[in-house]
Amino acid sequence: MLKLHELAVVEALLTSILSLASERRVKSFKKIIVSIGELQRFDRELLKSMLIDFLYRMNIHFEEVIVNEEPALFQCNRCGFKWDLGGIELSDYVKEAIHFLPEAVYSFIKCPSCGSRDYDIKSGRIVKVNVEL
Amino acid sequence: MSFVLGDPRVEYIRAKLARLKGVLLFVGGKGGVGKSTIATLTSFSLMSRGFEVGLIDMDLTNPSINVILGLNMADMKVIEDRGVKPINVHGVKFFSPIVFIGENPLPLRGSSVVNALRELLTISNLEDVEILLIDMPPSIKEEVLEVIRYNVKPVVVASQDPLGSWSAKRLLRLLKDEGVSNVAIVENMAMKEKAILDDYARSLSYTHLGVIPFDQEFYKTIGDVRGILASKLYSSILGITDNIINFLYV
Repeated sequence: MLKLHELAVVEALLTSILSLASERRVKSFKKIIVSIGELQRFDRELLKSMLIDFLYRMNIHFEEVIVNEEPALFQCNRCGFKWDLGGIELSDYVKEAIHFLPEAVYSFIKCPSCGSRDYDIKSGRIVKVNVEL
Repeated sequence: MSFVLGDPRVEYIRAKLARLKGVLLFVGGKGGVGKSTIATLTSFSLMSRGFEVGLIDMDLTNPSINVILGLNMADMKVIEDRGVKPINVHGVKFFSPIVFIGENPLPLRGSSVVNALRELLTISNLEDVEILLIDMPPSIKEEVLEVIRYNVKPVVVASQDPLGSWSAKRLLRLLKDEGVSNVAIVENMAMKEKAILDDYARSLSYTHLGVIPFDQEFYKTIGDVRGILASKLYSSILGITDNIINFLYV
């Protein structure tokens, strides 16, 4: 049995795609483009292969499935400093916590400039699907 | 032709919750009215009636049901199987953000609140759950507005003091304005036996579940599930469980 929380997210993606397919009365797509944030730390190849497998099982045809990653970027609300994940050392426990719940980043990362936890995730926390008919 | 689909988690959550026998959302206009306690005790009372019960602590920035249940941090580990499995607490299937953040604070603004809430509902494995109880943070904010869109049944926990009852009425009024048709109210920590919010609930065609008397000894049982289940407060909850079940099946 698969023990991956990517499965829950793939099921969510599939629900969304099937809903559109039903609404548009189509069984095939030209392109399915999934964008996921760097914070989710998903195995993109695994996510892609799981999604393709589900699409085949649901008899949905497609020419191409692409999985993109949106880089993480943060901006502090207190001092305005912007930063990314580059150079930030995270323990395996913290990486896993953020993988499951990206907002857990606020528990473990503070603004490198002023130390505040009051910052925005400007990018890198996304689950989005674009489809082309 | 190209389409950007909405957040895929929303439909997934809606379908996931619709497969359950019922979802109760414990809300309150003010903090300190006992939402978390009532939600926790209700989970055990429903389990005593044979239901498979899940309990989610959705007070993301200040989760505390783990304290009521006496769980230590060693108990709060992520178990992954088609999502995140619950922690079994004397038969209740318990989900909490504590498994991810531990004792660290979690300040959230704006869209992060909704994102975190949707993520938790998406990744929580509810396969063995029949009835889900969700404990929400106090007041009327993004979390409540988000979750009421998923066809859940809010239970407003209110106190009988003037501040508590005033807040409860405002929350009931909001739920009515948002088109939530099935709402219940329970008066908690009551100093008076007689209900004070029943007429107002009925004026909105809502359900009044009952009055839970103040149990001044209850605080001594916090952290001890066996003590909690032997408390007068739990007896009072058992006394309204028929009403809760009837409300679930409305």
